Amino acid sequence: MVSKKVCMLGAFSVGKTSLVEQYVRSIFSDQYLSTVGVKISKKLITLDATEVNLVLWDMEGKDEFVDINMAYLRGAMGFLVVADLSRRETLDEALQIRNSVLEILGEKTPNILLLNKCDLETLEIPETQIASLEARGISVIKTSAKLNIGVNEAFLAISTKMLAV
Amino acid sequence: MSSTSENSVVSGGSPPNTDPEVDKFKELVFRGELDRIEELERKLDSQLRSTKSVSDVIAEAVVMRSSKDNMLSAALSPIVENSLQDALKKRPQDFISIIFPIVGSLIRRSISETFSSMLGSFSKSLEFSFSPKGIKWRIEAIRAGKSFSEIVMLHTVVYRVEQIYLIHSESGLVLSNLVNKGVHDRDADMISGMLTAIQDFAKDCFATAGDESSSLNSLDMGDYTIYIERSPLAYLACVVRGQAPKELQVKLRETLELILAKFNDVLQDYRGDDSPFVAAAPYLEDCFAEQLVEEKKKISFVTKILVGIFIILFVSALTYKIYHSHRMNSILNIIGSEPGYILIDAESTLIPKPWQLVALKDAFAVPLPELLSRGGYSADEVRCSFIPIDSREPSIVMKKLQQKLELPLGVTIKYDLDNDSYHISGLADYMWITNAKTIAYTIPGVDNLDISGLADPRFDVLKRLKQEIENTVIRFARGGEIPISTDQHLLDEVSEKLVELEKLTNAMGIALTLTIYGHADLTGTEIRNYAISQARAQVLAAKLYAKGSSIPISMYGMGSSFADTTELEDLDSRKIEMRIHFANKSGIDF
Repeated sequence: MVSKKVCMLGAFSVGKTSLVEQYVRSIFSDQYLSTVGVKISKKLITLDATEVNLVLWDMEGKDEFVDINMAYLRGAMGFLVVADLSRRETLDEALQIRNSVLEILGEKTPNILLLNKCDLETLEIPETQIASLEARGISVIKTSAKLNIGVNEAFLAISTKMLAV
Repeated sequence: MSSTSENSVVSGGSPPNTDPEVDKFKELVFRGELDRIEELERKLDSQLRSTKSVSDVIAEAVVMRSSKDNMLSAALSPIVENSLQDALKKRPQDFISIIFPIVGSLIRRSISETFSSMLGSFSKSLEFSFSPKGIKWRIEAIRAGKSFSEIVMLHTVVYRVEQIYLIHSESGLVLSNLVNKGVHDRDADMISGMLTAIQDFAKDCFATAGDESSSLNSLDMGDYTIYIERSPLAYLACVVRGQAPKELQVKLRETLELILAKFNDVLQDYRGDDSPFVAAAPYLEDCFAEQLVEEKKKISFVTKILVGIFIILFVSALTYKIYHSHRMNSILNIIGSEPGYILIDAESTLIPKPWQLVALKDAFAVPLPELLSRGGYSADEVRCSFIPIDSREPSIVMKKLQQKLELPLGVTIKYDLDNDSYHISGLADYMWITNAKTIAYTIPGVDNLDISGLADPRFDVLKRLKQEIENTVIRFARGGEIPISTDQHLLDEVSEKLVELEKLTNAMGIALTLTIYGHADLTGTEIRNYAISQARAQVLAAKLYAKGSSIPISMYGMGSSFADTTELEDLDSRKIEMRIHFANKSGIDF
């Protein structure tokens, strides 16, 4: 069995905890509970006949007052940076976080940009911008923790990437 | 030196050559080879010298290093392991032959220890399951919502290593973990993750700038302490219940060092694959230790026996006391509910037999021995003092009536509860009937008595004879005391009836008195008429006496006082009339 530490990063209230809850426990709650510090969950999956123990570090959302605790990133083998499709500024935040983390963990650290809340009607991030991100080599997956869209794919994708390293 | 080398080279090859020219030629032709041979000889010589000097000190060096730390054994163990593996693969039969004699005893010892451990834990569980302490702990477990084994452990263990984790320092991922027997296995990944996060957090918050060495060494939570032994690559987290001694932390340090020595390379290149760390489990297992609470001094066997005997005696006495009290209550109920008894005191003694009772008792009540034997009890079980009373209980009063009245056959007594009265009915002697009423009212409890149902069959004959005699009129001839011819027979009949009546009244105990009234008509003088009426009355009396009767007779000559005044010589006025009086033995007429 292979264990992999994956960090969930992003601005506050983008749905990091909801994505983890949906993936690990298949539940979703509309109630917003801000994560303090870090919350650790795990999920055992089998990928190409390899048992992978995903240890998910759901980290406190970044805002103007709270910065990411980089100590929690140590030893991470991959990370998911989450943005909210209905709040344009969260994408800028996500990209900024992504760059910072890559600087610490190394440029080749597997990562995926998750654009969450794709079930909402008012989306502020245009498709053209998403296409330009992909063109820059950034892996992007649209997700909805509420409707369970793209959640499994996102975690499987990061797992696959981590195993390939 | 150089020539020595040359010589040695030459001497090792062909026979010596003394020609200087040849030697010069050799030197010119083989100069390079000779130098290399000399170099090789020097190296060989140096190695031999080094080996010799190492062989002189190697044993002391090994001993010295082993006493200092475990690095030598850690370094040698892979080589030894590989050598052993190779040797096992090449010559397995040799190893089987060597270890065969010791395998048997090892297996026996292992089985023996397993059984002994199993019996030990079984007896411990039994001890705590049935002892008062065990019951107390069971209640505590229910109240605290914990398992019984947890509570037993809490009270019996000074300290115990319950869980131990080998964790990758950077990622916080679990490399290996072990859980002690009887401890609930929690999710190791979550625990190790949070433990790492907490350490990061603590370090982030409290470590001073530039002080990278400071870290969280232990965490306390209730009965648990988590000891952390750190290194840059991996750390050990040891969950201990109770207060662990300092030696445990030293042991953790040593274990971590051994693990680091063995797994250094794997840890350096760790990418999440924890399979190499399966081999770390024996190291972790060595850290499991515990210390039990010292049992209190055992109670001696004799004391246990004495306490046992005391308990048996106490329980027996208590059981007997309860049994006896139950019997006594039954006896008291029997006595208390029996008519004619009124319990006024019951005194229990320390030695429960016999009981002292004080009761009021009617003489007509059922005797106590008979009463107790009815309920299956012996009269010896109680000692009873009686105070005599006259009970007004109907059943007792009935007994008294039956005994005192000497009821004739066919006479019955009934009690009417509604009117609180006694009814006596049936056929009986007239005198008995007369006495019965008097006697009955002397019995306490008889306030209302009805004897209207009592009758004497001879009384009817008595009344009939009285009526017949009193209705008879015997008429007499003119101027004399001889009944007229038609009434002659009446004199005999009346006499016979009076004799019969006398016999009957004598038998019934009734006093009989006869009064004869003689009458005359208007003919003649008044004096003569009184005399003749007197003489007529005496006729019947004389007749009765002649028959042997002893009836008290009163005779009255009425003269012509009641004669028919319309006729001078009236036959119906010359007569005698009879009146009969009955009286009981008390002299009362009826």
